[in-house]
Amino acid sequence: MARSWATVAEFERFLDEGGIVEPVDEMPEEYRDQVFRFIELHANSELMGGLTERDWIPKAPGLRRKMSVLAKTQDEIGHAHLLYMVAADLGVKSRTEMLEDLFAGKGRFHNVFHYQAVTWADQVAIAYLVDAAALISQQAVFKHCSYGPYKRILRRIVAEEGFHMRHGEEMLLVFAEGTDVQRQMFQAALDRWWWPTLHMFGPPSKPDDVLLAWHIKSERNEDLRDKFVQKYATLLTGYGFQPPDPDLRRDPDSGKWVTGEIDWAPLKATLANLGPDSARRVGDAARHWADTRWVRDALEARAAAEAA
Amino acid sequence: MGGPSLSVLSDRPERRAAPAGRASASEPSGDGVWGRSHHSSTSDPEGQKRLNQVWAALGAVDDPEYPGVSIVDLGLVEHVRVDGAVVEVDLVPTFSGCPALSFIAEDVRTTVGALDGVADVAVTFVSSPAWTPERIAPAARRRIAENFGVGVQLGTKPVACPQCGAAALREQSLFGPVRCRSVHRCASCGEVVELIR
Repeated sequence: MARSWATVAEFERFLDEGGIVEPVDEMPEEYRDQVFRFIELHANSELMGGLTERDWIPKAPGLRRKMSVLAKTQDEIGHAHLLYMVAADLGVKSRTEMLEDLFAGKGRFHNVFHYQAVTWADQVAIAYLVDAAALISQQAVFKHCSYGPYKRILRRIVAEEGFHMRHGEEMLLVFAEGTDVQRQMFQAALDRWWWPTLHMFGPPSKPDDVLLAWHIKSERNEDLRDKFVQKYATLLTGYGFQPPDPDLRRDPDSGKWVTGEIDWAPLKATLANLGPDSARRVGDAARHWADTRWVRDALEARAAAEAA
Repeated sequence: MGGPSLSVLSDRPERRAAPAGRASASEPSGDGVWGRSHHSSTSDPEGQKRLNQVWAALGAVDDPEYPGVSIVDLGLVEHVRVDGAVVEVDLVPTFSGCPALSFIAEDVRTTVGALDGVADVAVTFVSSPAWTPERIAPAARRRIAENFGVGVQLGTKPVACPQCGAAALREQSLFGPVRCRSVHRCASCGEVVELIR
């Protein structure tokens, strides 16, 4: 049964009381737009992340790792698939429009997928740090998200990302307990991925952030980043690795980790699709899309023939 | 008896020779209801007690992708053998390429290995019988639907939408984020649903 609200204030009261919005509801247009953009960003990021993962299928060391990379690729493409369906239901853009925008360089996806993974240790750093950061963010959204279909997809994504994290931890231990060469490889990867991972949470939330006001997100960016830093600065230094932040220190009074000042310029560049590896990533994705056109054409032709 | 082990995943593939006291391969597999078809065997009376403890411990090992749902609930445990302080557990993978297998084996070794009087735990993945969704316990099917919005496809029986209950799911794609699930859309409420198949 579709519900409607006479005023935005009434809608906000509904959200504040823990109300869950469904696609059939007559939600305010701006809410629709914000939820859509949020899910589209997530879907694009899963897709671009899956394509990145895919690059490593032939290069993963050993059968077990190859299986895990294959599975993660499927996981992420599968998550994108579910999320694009949920996003398209909002009626702002069709699935094809979202994909075409992405491949034309007009879509947005998470900053971490605008960088190149240079060695296998980069993949390990991504699995260990980026997947953990993504999970922290997604758990926070999942807990209180006001948009029903997204919240329900997230409960599965969160369970699966938890499993990715376990892969990351296992792979990290191989490097941490490995030879000097392996430890140096991971340290070099950490030097590349530490800051982008911190950027991934976004700049500090504005006081009037509508995503928070409408319970699309439930926690401030800086709080989630802090949660990540407290846990991972402890773990990494415990393994004898050093995040590339000369000002990273424990506050003597609170015992909490404090980072140096964060330079937001690299994040801004990635948001404009002008990151170090953006052009190649988007170009590769666009080429895959063009190369697989015959599959979509064939599927549509069959569907049309069956309908006739 | 089980088919060839997936030796690459097994901790000790060379231990496939059946030890004394193993249940007969031709033992009837029960009425097909979950739980009845799973064999247990032991060679001594004291072992029976341990066998029960091992099953209870396995009931607390969650599947890595469904927190709160155990590998016993999912019907992954095919056979448990206790021989003195040695426990052998045969598991049936849902799909042979499932990336969670090594973690499941590790969790079984840790959990069962922590029991009093257990010195060694051998985990083997068997490729026969094949896992089917029917092996999931009925109560677990309901829990998976409620907690994860994932339905269970039993044969060709229509599945109720976990969101609205209508039997109106339309397949969108044969594969979803994991190998053992397909993606559907509910024609009644519009929900995007996955089914374990």
